[in-house]
Amino acid sequence: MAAKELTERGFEVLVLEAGPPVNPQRDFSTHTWPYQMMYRGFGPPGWKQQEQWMQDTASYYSRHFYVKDSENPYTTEPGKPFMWVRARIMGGKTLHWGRLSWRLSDLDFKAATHDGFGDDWPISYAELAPYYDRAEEFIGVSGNNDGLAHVPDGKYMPPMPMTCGEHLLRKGAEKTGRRAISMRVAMLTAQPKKFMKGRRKCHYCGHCGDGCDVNAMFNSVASTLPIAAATGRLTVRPNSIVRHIITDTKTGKASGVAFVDRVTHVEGEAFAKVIIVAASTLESTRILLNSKSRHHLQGMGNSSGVLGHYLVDHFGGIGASGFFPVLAGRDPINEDGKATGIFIPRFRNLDAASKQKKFIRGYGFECGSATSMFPGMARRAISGFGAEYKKQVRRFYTSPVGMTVRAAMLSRFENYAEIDTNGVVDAWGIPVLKMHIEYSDNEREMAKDAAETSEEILRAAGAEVMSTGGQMTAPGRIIHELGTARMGNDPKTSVLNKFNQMHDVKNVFVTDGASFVSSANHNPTLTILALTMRACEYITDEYKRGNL
Amino acid sequence: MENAQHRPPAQPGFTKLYTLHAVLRGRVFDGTLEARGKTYAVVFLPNQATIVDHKLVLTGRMGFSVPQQATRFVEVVSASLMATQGGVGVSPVRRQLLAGTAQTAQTATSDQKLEQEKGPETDLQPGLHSFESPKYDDLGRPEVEATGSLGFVGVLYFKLSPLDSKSLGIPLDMSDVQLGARLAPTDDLARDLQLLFSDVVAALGNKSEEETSLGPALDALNNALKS
Repeated sequence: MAAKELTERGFEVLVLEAGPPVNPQRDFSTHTWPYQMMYRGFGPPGWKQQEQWMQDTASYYSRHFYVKDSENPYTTEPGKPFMWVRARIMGGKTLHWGRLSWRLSDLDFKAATHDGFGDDWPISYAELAPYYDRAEEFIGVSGNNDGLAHVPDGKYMPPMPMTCGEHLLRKGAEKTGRRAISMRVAMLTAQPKKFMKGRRKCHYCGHCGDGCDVNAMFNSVASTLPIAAATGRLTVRPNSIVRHIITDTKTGKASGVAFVDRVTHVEGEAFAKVIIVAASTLESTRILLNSKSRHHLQGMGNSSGVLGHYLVDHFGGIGASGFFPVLAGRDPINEDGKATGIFIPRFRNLDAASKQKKFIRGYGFECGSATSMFPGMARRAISGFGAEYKKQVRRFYTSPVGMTVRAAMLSRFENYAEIDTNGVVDAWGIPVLKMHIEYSDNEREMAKDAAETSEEILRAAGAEVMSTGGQMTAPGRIIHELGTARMGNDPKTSVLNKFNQMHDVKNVFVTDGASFVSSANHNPTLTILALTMRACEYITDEYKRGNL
Repeated sequence: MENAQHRPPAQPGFTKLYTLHAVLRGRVFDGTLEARGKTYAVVFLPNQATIVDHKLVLTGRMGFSVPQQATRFVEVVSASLMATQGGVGVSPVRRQLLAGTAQTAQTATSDQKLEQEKGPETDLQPGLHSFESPKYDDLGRPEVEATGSLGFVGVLYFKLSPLDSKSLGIPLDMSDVQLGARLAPTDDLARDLQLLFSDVVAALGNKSEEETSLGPALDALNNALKS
């Protein structure tokens, strides 16, 4: 997004991408059927455990979108695992992201004022709202305006329709006093706008995570980079792994970056007047922590000592699943092509009436009810074999329903990433991160509440509940790692100012999830895009004024 | 054959090899490395575990081979544990450890098989998976996967003693190599070793318990390495 915004404003931009270029025709498996793949698309037994054991969302179709853990280590404290899912390829995680596009509200930006914990963001919803508008219109988001103050409405294409089971679940939620709304997803459900060249309307094939070959889902390869390239001011250098930012020894400002070629291992340097770090939350922080110099003894931008701190993820793993007897045995229809579901927005700690004694903040539920190519419930819920087993699978696979929590994690100083002090490096000799993160009692109490509430909603909807509770996901598994270079008004307690500009080094900007002050309970990408647009506008103004 | 206890000089003409990756099979760490278009099979066979300066050190032989050529061994290689990565997923099942036997049946527990089939929790099709068997703490709150009693080590990162790549015939500078040892057991001995490594790492990380728990854990690890 930064490349698009800045080239459009007349800047010459060099993008250093750590991974290879992407060729959609070769690399996307959008319409590959399981029977065209070895092992029906599941891959050889144990393949993921060999090289990509932490790349949870990688399938055998999409494995090349992800890093190899064997080349890209990181370390953790004993007993405190962290799952770090990473993409190193042109387009990065936008090639396979979940596409859920929610706005944060002042309940999130001013959460500390609301409940007294942590810090507010240095911006309000009103300041970011115009950029949310622009981001939604550019990427194309389908959804409804639902009139919920804590889930602000936006500029949407028509929502994807609910399935029968989702309507049943929505009614069940309403019986318990909660709303259930269509997911807001970055997928084109109407004719593309003029500037959306090369993008087409979603045809509901359901393989978004394997690369969308019609570019109905937003990704940077089909959307931002072509527009940037069309200006003639963009240079892209793939396979360029940044080691650190180079400091000008006279001024202490950033003068460029040092990188190593992923394939040839040849070292290189690139120089620029403004550096934008957007390598994803933890990779960006790793680069900054590795950028030590006489001017920046603890890493670039770390005079406050908070760089790497306040690491959060959302948590999941808690919920309930089952089936709707009323839908069992109906004729199967293609419902999994939608590849998204419905959402029950946060309903705890919104006001005095919903205030909880045991936890602050809140959670929502991502829910779905649809047939799918592989009848997942048949594996665990139905036993037996032979003709009777097949009959039971056919009967129930049209009726599954499930809901799983997406919950806020409190931003706490004691959850952090640092450069591994034992000297562990990656395959290119670059020092790696060590993660220190665990949930607090607040998250544990929230999980207990979510487990009980999900079962209540499912039963109210008329479902037979087969599985409840679960285990909280290990931090990182939801792939919403945020914080570690947070923004704030006080340079003593934050890394960036409210325009994503480093307090310590004025010509460095961090425009990814590292800048988040708190996590809310919503997917972060739309907010990252809006913040980036805003930061680029600021860069343009400051550059013109000669302040960079 | 050679002994790698002395540090050979760095080899400036060669590309530096920073990391090696290997997966534990039975009691052997099994991996590959690439150099100038050739793929070398690499094995590390530790036969002793000791604690030196509060760090786990494995000692054993290391072999390098290319197809249709004899394996070249370095007889004494030490691997000093630098750090670990906690595993995530279904915890290995604790069972009665094998005593002095090396069973390597290619088996996986039913939970491990289910984990492989289940697929991730994902926004793409939210909520359409079964939930892990619930486990609760004393306050009735759900546990966090792969922590506490469900915790285990997924990767051990070792610093290898310097390797003289010249005598091994490998065109790389191997004077300072890190071994990433992945624990993803598919056989009973590797499964036992994963738990034993996890016990030793936990004991090393908890200094107050070290005296009581490290000794037995280390003994058990040595027994398994020599079985």
